[in-house]
Amino acid sequence: MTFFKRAAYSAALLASSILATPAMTADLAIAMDQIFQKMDPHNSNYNVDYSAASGVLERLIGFDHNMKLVPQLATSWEGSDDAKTFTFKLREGVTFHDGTDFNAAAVKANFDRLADQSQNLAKNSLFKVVDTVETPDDTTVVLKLREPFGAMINTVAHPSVVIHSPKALEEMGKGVEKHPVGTGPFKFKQWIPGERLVLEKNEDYWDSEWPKVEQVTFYPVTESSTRVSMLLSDEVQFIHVLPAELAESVEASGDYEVLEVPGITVWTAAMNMLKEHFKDERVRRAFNLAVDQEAFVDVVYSGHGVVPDSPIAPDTRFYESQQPPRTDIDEARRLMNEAGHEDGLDVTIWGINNSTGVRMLQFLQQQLSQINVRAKIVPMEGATRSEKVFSSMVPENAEFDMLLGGWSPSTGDADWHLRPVYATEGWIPKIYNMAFYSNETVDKAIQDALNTADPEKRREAYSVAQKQIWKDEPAVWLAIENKMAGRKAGLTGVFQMPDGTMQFTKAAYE
Amino acid sequence: MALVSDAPAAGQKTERIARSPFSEFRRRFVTRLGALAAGFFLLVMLLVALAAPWILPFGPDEFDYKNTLSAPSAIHWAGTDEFGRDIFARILNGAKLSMFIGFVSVTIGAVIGVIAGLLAGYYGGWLDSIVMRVADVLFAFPGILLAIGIVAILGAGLTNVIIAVAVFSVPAFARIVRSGTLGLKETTYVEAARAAGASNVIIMFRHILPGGLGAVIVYFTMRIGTSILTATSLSFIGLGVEPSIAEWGAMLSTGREYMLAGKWHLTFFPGLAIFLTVLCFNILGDGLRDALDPKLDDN
Repeated sequence: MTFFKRAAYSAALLASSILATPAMTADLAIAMDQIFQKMDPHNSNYNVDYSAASGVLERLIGFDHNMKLVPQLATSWEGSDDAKTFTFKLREGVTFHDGTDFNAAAVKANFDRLADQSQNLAKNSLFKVVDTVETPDDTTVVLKLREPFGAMINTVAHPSVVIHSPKALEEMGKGVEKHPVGTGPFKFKQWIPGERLVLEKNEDYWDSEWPKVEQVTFYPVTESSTRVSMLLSDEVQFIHVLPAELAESVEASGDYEVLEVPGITVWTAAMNMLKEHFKDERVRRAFNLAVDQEAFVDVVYSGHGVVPDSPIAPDTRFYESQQPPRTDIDEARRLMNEAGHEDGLDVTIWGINNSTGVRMLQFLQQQLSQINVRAKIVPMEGATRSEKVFSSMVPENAEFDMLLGGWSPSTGDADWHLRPVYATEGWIPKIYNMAFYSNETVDKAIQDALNTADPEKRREAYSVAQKQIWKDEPAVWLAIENKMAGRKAGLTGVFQMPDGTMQFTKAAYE
Repeated sequence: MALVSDAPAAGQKTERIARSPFSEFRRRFVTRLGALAAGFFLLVMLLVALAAPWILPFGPDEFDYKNTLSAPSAIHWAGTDEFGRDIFARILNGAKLSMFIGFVSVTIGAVIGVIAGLLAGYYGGWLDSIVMRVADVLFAFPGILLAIGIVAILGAGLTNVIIAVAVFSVPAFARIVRSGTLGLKETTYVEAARAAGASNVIIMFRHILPGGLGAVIVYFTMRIGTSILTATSLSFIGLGVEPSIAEWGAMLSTGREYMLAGKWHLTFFPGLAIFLTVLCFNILGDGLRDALDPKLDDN
């Protein structure tokens, strides 16, 4: 008797608990592949930071899913023919989360901060050309540049060029990186570093139609199979990045979808050209000939990617295809012998320690072993890597021979790929020129392209730069991987971008 | 390893003496079938691993990008990994490596620990206090934490893993030998040796040490199992050997990515290898303890 009673009770309990659960809560949970560093995009180099902060902090101009410009806080914009003056018309009736009005003065405060070298912000390099920021009236901002800069509009659209509340900037200074205050559809609620970041709905958002979810929680989950498990157990509704090798298991059930778009991140293994052996172009040529890029895409990305045929990706503005890389071990061996490395060569390759990064390193090691190159691979944890490569690096004393890395131009424009990665001014630790590559033709072409706003002239200049870099081979070209994410079926408005960031502000459940 | 082959050989020498401790040990040990089987398994694994380059068609680092992630088959007994490398060949290479790390690190730990324990127990006083306090400090850390700390200071790599594992083996050996020495140095035969004019070194190493050796041998065997586990754990979390090296922990670490994709063989076989090896060392150690302990009567 008691048994039946108990069984009946538990059945009732079970039924009520099922009924009590709402069909679908209007909350959104997202698992990201890296740990958040700073909620101040002005001072961060990380896509995860840009992605999460984009809910709180808006920009004047944003990108849609195809990297096309769309209005955010600016309603319209135009550049002068000499590419030195840019005028933005601002949206009216917008207030910050702390009640401050959004106006030209607020934009000026942010632009001045970005352009101020003494602040030492990570993204100062984007605004280096800005001379003055003028505010002729409350809804107009005029950027005056020191020299012509054809890519300025795309630069203003870079995910790091956000507008903080001027009041917050004044009161907290660098403290905004722990508590951002913006105009976005979500307000900052809580951040436990390494654990979770919570945003809540902004009831007074200027676009009354949005947002449609009450709360967004981000979990940094570096282990990619854990991310997938979280999606498959409905702990989160979106995962970014979805590792290619697990795409099939996500798609299998039909309750989840795999999102895949061509990326604009070009992965390379930069060859340290300050080292004697890599000064020899025959050695650089041999290294590129030894690596089978098609196999790289298959092994590292399970085929979800393409082999680069230019220093920049096909979807980056002003891309021009070059001769695709080929593999020829015999030719590579011959070149190595010619360069005097009959006994082989010992190199140290630094890379990233996540599973994909380790796979890249192992692959390179295997391929190079074919031409008698003995590679020591050093996978580094993210923080160690950024400390060793981007803060304490002295180019002449760099310990690595090769450095694995990927760069995506979040402005969508060739300038922000070629300049940081291949111009002399980009040498690490400053920006991202990891090969310490320096070529006058390239530097000049990049500068020429900046000095005009005429797309045709810019295209010509970037063509020169791409040709020269491709010929000089400062890096072993590896792959452009497709950007992949996993999403719960029925969720819309959450997606990944070709540059490695993601958007979630228009999240809604069907 | 050494023990299984040495003990019976040493026993033969003294067979004519009816109550030799070695023949007594052998008599007791052969009845423990579990321990015998474990020892046999480890011996076979080591021999096959050593002979692998001559009997296997694949090397542990031979890649084949057209044949990645294939399931176990007649050609690839344990399947292939994400680079098309033969997992069975890698397991065997890992066996060689793990046995090497385990054996070398525990030997280093044992030598240092035995000498420290012997000196501490024999001389006592401040030397004893220092040795035992240092041992206490080392004991206060959980083994893996201590190893992580040491590798964090010295950097990753095979040599440093061996050092890390050796360091955390030292205190246990020191304690075992010290407690044995404390008892033995009061015995009449030691007293007799001293009366006969034997030096301290002779007394310590010829008269006291052999008496405590049984416990050391047992602990040594069991410790190899633990050391292999620690070394593979270090590799698993990326603090051990370079990830491309065919080592069990590193194989588990890179293979776990594919578990959700249904590629079970990438983790199953290295996991099984670690499990069986550690289990066998423990069973062997248990068997040795029973056989070496004169107080236990198996009748």
